[in-house]
Amino acid sequence: MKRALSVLLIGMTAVSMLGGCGSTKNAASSSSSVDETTAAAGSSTKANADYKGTLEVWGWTTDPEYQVTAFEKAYPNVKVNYTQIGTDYDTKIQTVIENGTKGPDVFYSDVKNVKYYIDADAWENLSAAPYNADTSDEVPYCKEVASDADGNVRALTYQATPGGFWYKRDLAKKYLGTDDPAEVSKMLSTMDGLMDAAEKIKTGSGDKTHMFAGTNDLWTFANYGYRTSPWVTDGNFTMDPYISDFFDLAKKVRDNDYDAKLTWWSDEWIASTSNDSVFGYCLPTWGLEYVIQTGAPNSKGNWGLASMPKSYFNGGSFLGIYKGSKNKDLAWLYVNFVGTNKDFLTQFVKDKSDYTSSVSVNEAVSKDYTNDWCGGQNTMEYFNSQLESINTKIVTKYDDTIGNLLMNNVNLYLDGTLTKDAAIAQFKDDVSTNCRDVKVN
Amino acid sequence: MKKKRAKWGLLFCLPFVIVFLVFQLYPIIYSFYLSLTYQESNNTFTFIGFGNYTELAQDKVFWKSVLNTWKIWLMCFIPQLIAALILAVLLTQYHLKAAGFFRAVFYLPNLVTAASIGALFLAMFSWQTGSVNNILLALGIIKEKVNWMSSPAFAQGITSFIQWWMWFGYSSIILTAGIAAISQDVIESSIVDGANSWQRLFKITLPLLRPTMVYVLVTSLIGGMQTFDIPMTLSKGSAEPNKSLMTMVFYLYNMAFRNHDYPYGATISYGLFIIIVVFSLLFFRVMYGRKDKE
Repeated sequence: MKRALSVLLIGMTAVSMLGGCGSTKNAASSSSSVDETTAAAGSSTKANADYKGTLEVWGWTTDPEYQVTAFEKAYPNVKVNYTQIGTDYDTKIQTVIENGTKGPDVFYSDVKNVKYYIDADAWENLSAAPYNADTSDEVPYCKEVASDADGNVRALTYQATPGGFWYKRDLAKKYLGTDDPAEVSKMLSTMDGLMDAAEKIKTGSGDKTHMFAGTNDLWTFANYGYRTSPWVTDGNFTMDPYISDFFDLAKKVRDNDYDAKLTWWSDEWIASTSNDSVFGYCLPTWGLEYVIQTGAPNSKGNWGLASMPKSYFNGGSFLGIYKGSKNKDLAWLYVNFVGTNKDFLTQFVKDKSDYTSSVSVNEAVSKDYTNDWCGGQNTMEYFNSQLESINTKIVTKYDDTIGNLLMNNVNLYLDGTLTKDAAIAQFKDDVSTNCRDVKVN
Repeated sequence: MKKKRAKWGLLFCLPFVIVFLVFQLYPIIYSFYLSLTYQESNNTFTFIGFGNYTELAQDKVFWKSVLNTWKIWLMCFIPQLIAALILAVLLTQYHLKAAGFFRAVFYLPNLVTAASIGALFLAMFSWQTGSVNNILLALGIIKEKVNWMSSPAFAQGITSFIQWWMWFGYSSIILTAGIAAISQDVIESSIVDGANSWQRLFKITLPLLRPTMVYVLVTSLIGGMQTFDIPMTLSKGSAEPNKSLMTMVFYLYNMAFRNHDYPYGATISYGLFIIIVVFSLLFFRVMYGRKDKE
């Protein structure tokens, strides 16, 4: 009996190590605390130096470091503690939110989780008093993504992230006969044109250079480019008719050896930017800094940016005020500064060659903009041209989860483990197992 | 006098008791409560009784994860116990000069974080740029690069191999300690009685080593049922190919922390708890059953 008891205890200990999740209601975070402390936030009489205090900001990239420096310069008496949490950032922050424990004043979120945080009521309503965020100059799709069901803005962003096809100019000249972005864009303007170019590159290079890096690159632009219906509406799952086509597209690319079969975000994927194995990448604005400049620091000037058959966007950081913050007036100063301060955003483009969330800044900058990394191409103008056709009506909080499940099954189809029908059936099963609140017919 | 001492005893126990109550007992009970609820939204849990458990019993992915966990653990534990036993016997019975050195070498893989080992093996067996494919290609053994990690059997096999490689040194040290603890008197008298070294191994060492082997078995079972880090890093968090690396804890993590379904995560953790308890008891029975009757 004693032994049985000790085994029971061992078992209990083992399980308790895993069961440390919990949740309490976050009832204390009403807006009453804001009213007391933010009375001054709206008044314009207060000078920047009059704001004093310390802010806790959480994020997962190095982007905020630049923003913190600029903010502290503008508000010399506000100190910002930025904590960069690498792996499992969202898991950590979601645990904080769900437990209602003490957390940051401001936190960032990737676009893929923005809807989740909005649903979780983690961010203050920026459309309401005392914030009354002015989003008239914000890129419309950014505003749409960060709005709740009632149209209230819950988070701001400093970047819009339209995508394109970043290709290597030397390879384009060799295999396509031109490295001019306008010419290449024309070739890639239809799916057939894209496949023709892929074939040319394959035969021209003797199968050494591949048009795409991998299947995920295709999904990056197909995800919000070709799908027309959201994955989940009113708790019901709908499989967009395009998904079946995507299976065929992926198969065609794989069978014809148009992709280098590299895993997205793997080391070899990033490293391929510096050799001849891959012709180009489906990446948004930030792809230049985070992928190309990281993987191929010596390739300045050898890049071109072409349009693809469909406009798409990918990624983007949004920031909002955590409901549990005790420092909401300062938090709003920071969020508003990073999201809407035109001087800051203009400088940000110059320093980082990123694309901003401000329509007027983008337009002003694009007038005489040249991107050294892209051989002097005016990439700003290109991004401006993409904004209108980006479709964010289909964004839901399930997109990342369901997208990953889809790619798992696409890969099983490409490996030959499953037939297309079996893969699609398993994909639907997977959605139903992973999202228990979603009905799959 | 006696009472006074009891007071001190209780006081010294207090840190453990408090930590246990707050960080273990409370989560255990709270998880159980969670497993009886349904998560309406982020902060609203509705009591639904044992609905999650009936759903778990019919969940194909859960049973697949149970099967995967057992497969991976058995493929790792059986070779591990054999290797550890052989090494322990070799390193104690024959007084090798460099025994300490070998023990240290065998133990080394255990010092490296499992996550880095997973990442290392993933890089080695990468399809396009992995060193294994490149070496095999250069030697002419294969003609085309093999997509190792697309095969479920290979993925499970390599996970077991990594676990075996990481843990056989540890097990062999525990077994060595067990062998060293066997009274010299018994061995000496057996020699006097004319037992040869094989007889000594099978009639004395192994039977007397049983408590140690049970310990190794039970700790390995508990660890094996919780296999998570290697599959996680090896599949880059996807548990693919075809969910072959979806272990029970991986599934728990996916449901609770990726899909924010805490009630179901808690249900899986109780499913796991029941499995561990049942099998620990079973092993105890098998190993000690006879002794208890005596």
